[in-house]
Amino acid sequence: MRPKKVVVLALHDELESAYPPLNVATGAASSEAEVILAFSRKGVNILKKNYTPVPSEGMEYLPKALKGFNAASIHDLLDIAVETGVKLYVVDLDIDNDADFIYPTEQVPIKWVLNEAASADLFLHF
Amino acid sequence: MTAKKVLYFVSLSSNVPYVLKEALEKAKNKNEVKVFFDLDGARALDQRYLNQLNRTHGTDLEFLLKTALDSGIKLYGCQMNVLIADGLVLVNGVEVAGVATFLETAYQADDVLSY
Repeated sequence: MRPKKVVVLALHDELESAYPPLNVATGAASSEAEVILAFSRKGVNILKKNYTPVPSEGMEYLPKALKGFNAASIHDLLDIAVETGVKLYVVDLDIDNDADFIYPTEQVPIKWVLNEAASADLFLHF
Repeated sequence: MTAKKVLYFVSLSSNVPYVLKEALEKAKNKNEVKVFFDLDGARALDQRYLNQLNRTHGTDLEFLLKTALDSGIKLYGCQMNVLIADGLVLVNGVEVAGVATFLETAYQADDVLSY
């Protein structure tokens, strides 16, 4: 059977917004899906080596709750994503040329991401 | 209009009232609707947080949740909810599910919307 194809687009870098795309991407990859995880707008910051996730206003309880649950960090999840075969991309119009990313990433136009999404079994953006 | 399978993924409790109202509209039009609640969104399914969230968002969430369930909308709380270390105290009728269930449901859905 053909593996499922999943495209996930991460648009935001706040703590509460960084977890869903990574969780879905790693979950899909763990079930043998072919997964494209693209980062655009503020989402590209998640890939930066110096990224520090900060919760939005009203979500200040979140870091403590995550710690209490012994949840994986965002960068841990990114490691798992890569280990499970998730392919990382950044939308090139959103890139700061001096960005220091934690993993080498391919730069692609948003049109490429949307074309991949059109042929995917599942497309999600967060 | 042809009925669709519609799936919502809600990770922010502030979006829950809007999502439930929209889900109810979809269900009224004979669509099959499921809503997954994750992270902060899952607090809306927990009986211990409902009153607090009602005050914050100015909505009777309990009524919305009950109406949704009575309308045949399936509501799922994330199995691995990191916010509630001692587990969710779920509103009656709500089920727990993990990412695998979410993905299987999402593959079958016509529309998948995240909030």
